[in-house]
Amino acid sequence: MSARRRSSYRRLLRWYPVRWRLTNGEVVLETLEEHAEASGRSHPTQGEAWSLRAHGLAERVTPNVILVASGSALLLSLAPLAALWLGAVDESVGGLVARTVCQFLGALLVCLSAGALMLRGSELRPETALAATFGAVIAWTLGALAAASWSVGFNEADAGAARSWFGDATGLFLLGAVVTGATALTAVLAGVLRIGSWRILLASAIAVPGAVGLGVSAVIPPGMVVGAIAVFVTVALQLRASPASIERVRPVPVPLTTVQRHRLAAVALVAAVLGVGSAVFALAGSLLVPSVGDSTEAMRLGLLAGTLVAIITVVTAAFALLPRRRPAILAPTLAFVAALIALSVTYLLPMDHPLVWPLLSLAIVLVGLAGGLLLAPVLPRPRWLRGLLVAAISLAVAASVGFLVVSVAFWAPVLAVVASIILIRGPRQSPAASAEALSPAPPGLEADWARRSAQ
Amino acid sequence: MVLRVTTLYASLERLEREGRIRSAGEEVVDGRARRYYEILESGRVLLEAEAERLAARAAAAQVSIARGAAARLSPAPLVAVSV
Repeated sequence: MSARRRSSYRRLLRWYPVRWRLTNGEVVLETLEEHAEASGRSHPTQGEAWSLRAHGLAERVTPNVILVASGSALLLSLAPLAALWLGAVDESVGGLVARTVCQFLGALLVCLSAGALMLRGSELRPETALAATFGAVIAWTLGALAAASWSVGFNEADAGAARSWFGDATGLFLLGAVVTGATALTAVLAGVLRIGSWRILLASAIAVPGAVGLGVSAVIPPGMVVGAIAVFVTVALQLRASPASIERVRPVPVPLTTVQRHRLAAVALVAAVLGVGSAVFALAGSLLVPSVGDSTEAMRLGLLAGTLVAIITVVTAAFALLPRRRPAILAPTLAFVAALIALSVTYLLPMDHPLVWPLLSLAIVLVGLAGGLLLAPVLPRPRWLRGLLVAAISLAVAASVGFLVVSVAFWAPVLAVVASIILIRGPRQSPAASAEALSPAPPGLEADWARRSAQ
Repeated sequence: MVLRVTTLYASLERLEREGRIRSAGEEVVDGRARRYYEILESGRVLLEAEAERLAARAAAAQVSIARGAAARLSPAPLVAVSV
């Protein structure tokens, strides 16, 4: 037994968390020692050392760590958007640095969180994850430098000043970012794709445009917000799915009767027809009814009518979902209806009225809140964590897609048509449900089946 | 195929987390700590399914090898040569 080798292994095992070392440290140390002794080695190999580091770090990537990382990514990605919305974009050098750091650190955290999710799901080996992490850190750092270099170069050219080396190096930074990003992505994809000898080639073919796409999404304000929400909600769902967090059994949903479905479908169809009429009036009202005034006035009246009609669509959809989502659908419906009312009021006021912008902002915030509240039932407990998650998701939805509410008069009729079709067709029966209908389950299994369906 | 100690313990931990195996005690043998694991029912079901899948693949490979050997043993087709 070599004391030096043993001490090397013990040092490498410090990469694992303390709790893991207390449970497994000694057994793994002895196994490593035994293996090294059988191979006649006096010290750990490089491969073994990196494997221990990678596995040790992987043990530290818990769902809570991913939740914090993706939550931070969400906040960082939201900061430039919030500045944009509030009209507080700082054009100084400090502002540029802060904005670039927020965008690219947020993007890096989104990528690392997504990779960590794959690691937890055994889709990625810890060694590959560690190598990809190195690549991602370098790629996003070079990406941030490329963005900063472009801004500096633009300002220098705009001012007619001599170009500095930094302002001139955008292409070099960009090339470095794409190469390292594509390499990191290739490592990840090659681990995920299980298609034999062609996987490296295919992974590289996907990785190059993938790296470029990720870079572009980092500089487009809502791009990384959407990515951060996706990772955030996925990890929240994973936390919720853990056996310890399953706390209560929900009641089995009672489906709508055929008469109720057909009535709701009729209301949705009426809303669709009225919505299309409002949209047409908004676009061509001044031509169809000259007495209404100019095209701006027609647009205002059409949007007002379309927004009010959209309330009917939202309420109809809520009634359709009520048996399945009771009472979780009530709060988001109220928030969305409140948003539509706030938006309607802006169309009643003159365009330069001081209340127009605050009401529009309120409508966007309420749309975000509706999104956050809609996801609330699937978010993990305790209550404070769920509240925090709802707030973060609401902000993200408001900042990224909330502004789409201003065009609700144009897309609500499409939703109304889709809702009416779904309601007329009725719920699709799953094969399991059909089989159950044909051969009733034994009484003992019935309660268990109901409990599982409800979860 | 070489299985690293790190990969082995990561796999054991995952299988334990998934309820396929469980720790069945530790002891010191020749001055070294050892841990034993026992397979649980869900793990046995998974193992049996995997063994059947591998057996089916091995059988398919044997058939393919036998066909290849038969093809090599069969006489080459006659070719008429005119001079």
